[in-house]
Amino acid sequence: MRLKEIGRSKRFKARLAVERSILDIVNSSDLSQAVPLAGLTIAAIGDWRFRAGRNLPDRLVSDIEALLISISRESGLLADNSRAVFDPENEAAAAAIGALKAKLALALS
Amino acid sequence: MSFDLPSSVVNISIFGSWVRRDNDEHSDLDVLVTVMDGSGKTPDQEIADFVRPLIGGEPSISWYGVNKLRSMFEQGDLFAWHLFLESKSVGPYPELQAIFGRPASYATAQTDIMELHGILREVSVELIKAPRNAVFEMGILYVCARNIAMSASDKLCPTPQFGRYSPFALPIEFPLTADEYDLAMSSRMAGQRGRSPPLIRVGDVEDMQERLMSWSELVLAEVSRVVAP
Repeated sequence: MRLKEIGRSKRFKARLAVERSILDIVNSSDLSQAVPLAGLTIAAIGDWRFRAGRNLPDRLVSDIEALLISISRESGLLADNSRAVFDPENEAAAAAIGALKAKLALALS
Repeated sequence: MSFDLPSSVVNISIFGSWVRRDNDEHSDLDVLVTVMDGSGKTPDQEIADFVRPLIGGEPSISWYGVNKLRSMFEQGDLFAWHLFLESKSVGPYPELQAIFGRPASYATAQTDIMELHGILREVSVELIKAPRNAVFEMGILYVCARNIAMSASDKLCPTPQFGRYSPFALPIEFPLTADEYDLAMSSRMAGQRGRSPPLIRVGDVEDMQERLMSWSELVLAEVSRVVAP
């Protein structure tokens, strides 16, 4: 939440909820226990990929990384915070995100 | 004007730490691009290529339409004050102050602080549900503390404090040490910029959250006292 988000907390809270739900899938997995995912920016996902790659098969890490990037993009989390805004009420995006989260959970199971 | 950017670009300005001159290795080089509404998308790269030689770094670009930004100035949004006080135009563009004037008074400090207090309160609940998200939740503590202080500083300090260490500038003792605050900031940086996550214990997040909750109540009470008619 940068300064630009003060006073727009409904959107910020919705964004937090999405981030938490995705982080929880990854971080509650035994596979990812020692390498917590800290956020859903490209940089944070890249850092997780680097750390996870030391312990986990490269193919698995690549698959999870791709899913995380897709989820972040679909959620609007990768958009800059001005031009393309996070829209918690976009039903089409919500369905796509739900499907991607299910794939993510499966990959980490 | 003799430069290659589309005429829909109304203004390009740097803002924040680079204008305050307190930028460090953690600072973004924040660039605001204001465009005519409905003018379509100019690639970030085109803007970055234009500003990079002028400002000497890699920009982090935010885009705003003229109408949106004008509305924020008219409503006295804190971000408008941030731009009014801490922005500098780049290249041949006029200053934002010349385009939008002086923002209206910032009137939502109490509401903003209460909303941030609510987000702060949720951290302990979320930690119970997902203790392995401790790094993320620690980062939220940082965001809330910093932004509560930014909002309050408009009422409690001689000038608004938009820097990262704004909590330490308030006339109310901040309950975290600099090291604790930096730890929370590092957690946020890990989630946003891909820095290596620090080792965070759930108990530390809970402890810091409790202290920040008490502090934010004091801050809100003081802001309410100052703005009371």
